[in-house]
Amino acid sequence: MKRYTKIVLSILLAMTMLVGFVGCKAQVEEPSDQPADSEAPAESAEPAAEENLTIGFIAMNRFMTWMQYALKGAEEVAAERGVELIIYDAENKVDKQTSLVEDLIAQDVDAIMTDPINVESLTPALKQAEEAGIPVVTFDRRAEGAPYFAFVGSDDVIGGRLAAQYIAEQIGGEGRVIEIVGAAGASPTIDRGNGFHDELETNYPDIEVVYSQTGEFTREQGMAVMEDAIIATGGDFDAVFAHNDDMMMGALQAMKDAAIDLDEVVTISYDGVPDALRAIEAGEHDATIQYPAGQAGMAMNIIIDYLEDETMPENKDDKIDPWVITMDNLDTGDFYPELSE
Amino acid sequence: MTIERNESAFAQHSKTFATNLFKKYGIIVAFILVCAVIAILSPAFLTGRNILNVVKQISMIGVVATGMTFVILQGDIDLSVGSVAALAGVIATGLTVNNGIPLFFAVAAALLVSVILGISVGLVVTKARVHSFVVTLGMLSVARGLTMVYTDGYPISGLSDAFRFIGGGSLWVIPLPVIIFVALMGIAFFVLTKTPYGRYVYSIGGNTEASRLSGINVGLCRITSFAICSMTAAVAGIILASRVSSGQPTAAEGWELDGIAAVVVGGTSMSGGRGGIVGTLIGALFIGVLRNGLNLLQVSTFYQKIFIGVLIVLAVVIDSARKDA
Repeated sequence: MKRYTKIVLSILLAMTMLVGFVGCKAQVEEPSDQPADSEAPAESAEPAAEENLTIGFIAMNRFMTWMQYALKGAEEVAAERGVELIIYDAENKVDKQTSLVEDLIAQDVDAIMTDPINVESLTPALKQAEEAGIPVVTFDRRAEGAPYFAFVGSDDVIGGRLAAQYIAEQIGGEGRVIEIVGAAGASPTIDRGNGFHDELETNYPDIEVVYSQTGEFTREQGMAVMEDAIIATGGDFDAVFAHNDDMMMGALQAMKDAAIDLDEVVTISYDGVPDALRAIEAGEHDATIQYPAGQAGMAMNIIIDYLEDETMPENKDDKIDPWVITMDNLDTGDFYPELSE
Repeated sequence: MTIERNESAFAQHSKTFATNLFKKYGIIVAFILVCAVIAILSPAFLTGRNILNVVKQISMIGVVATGMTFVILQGDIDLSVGSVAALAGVIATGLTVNNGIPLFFAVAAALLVSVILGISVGLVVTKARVHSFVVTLGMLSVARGLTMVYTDGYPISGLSDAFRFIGGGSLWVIPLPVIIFVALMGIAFFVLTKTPYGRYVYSIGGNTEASRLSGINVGLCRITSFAICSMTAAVAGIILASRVSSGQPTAAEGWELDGIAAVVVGGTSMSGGRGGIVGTLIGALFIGVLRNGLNLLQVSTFYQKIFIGVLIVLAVVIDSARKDA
């Protein structure tokens, strides 16, 4: 009898937890949830509104700072327009992203919005979505060779060039640069790197990239790469370019730990997240390039326009230009309002 | 009076049979319970498309867990399966895309490499007498490093239609990964239950010394199991590469934990000697259904991790309590 009690209690506990977590999640859910929409199939009979649209949003990695803020932007648009969002996190795993697309297809959502981790990794899944008649809009990272309805991105190549030009101006056209590269195979990495190197080779041949390794777009890796770079170059370098802010934050810490005078080094990164803006404000960091956060919101508006009255986007591929943020124009940053919080 | 006794004997026999089945696979109860709860909470769960998705998604971990069953049954462990899977994926894709080698031979080459790695692990474990945990931990690193060296860190893309068929195609309505998974499970079940080698694996896991003394070539058997485990990991890695239409050097990270979880949740004991393929199938289904269900219920990833961890441990606790009862 004692054993039976133990088992029954365990099973009851498991069921309680399951229901408890579901309830917990429902309270944590964004305000865009329409009350009548929880479990009931089909549309609710709301008087003046159109049918409730459901859009599946797959963030490629919610642990990435820029993504968290971009997601907020998308949620705001969805809430404004009365659309329900299902939010998934692919945790930077390509097979998980594929599985999540399949899950959304099974739930028969009206549209899918996502940023493919690698240019080719989501192609089979996107083909399945096309076959199921679900339009897919991509942002941030592009998909190559895959069917999609629209893409809103930013020209990272231009951004890479801007970074090169900024460094060149600051160090007087010659010097040694350390490059902390993004995750291999991701379109931002490819484009930012290409723009950066192309600009240097074409216009600033006296600037040499003396160390270049991937920091996987994470803070810890950025720090590790910087530590190694400091040792490899013997501390002899003039500038550091990181493909994103997260890596740069780690790199700044590594330089501080190695007692390198940050005033002597020109640092520039990419994305424009609040931490970077704070570092620039504090004088530790020199500049960052705004990776426009409007991409997510814009993509959301495009797909909702289409779902509501079949409005086609002006361009299938839309790009918002990036710009350099320094201490002088901090308030032009997309995430500048976050600093006062 | 005689009739009454016969009836009660029959009733007793049925009860014992059911109790034995339940004892052996208590995890089935937990699985059915979870399915029921999810089905009630989410109407999309029991749709044909979703069920097909779930089975498709667990195919890769299921294949890994099939090979892992052999290793755990004999009292060992293999932490390198994720890295080996990734290596097989990039080798197969690399050979077809960069060297123009026909798909069949590219896959064969990838499998061969994985078998060699598995045999190496087996040799170190048996000859140098180092615990498999340590050796396969090292192989996890080595294989991942080999993957990076081979690809220079970049994904390999541009796969042929034939390659994409492996992970994306179906025979009739059944997705190919599922067919591969079921076929491998069937073969593994046959080997473990009907062949001498299968019996040896159980025996070694139950009592290594006694097995050695009764004339079983323990070393050869253990090496074979590691080779099988690496080979199934390679198959899973190739399916994965096909599903994401690229050979990813960073793929399959964490697969070792998922594979071990599926085996252990399915009732195979970590100390070896008890369990089997049927349990692994249930274990893989349990974890797959759990993940899918939590997705459908839109539980955020942050909570999912906590939840899945707790439920896996709970499932094993329930199961072992059942066995002791």
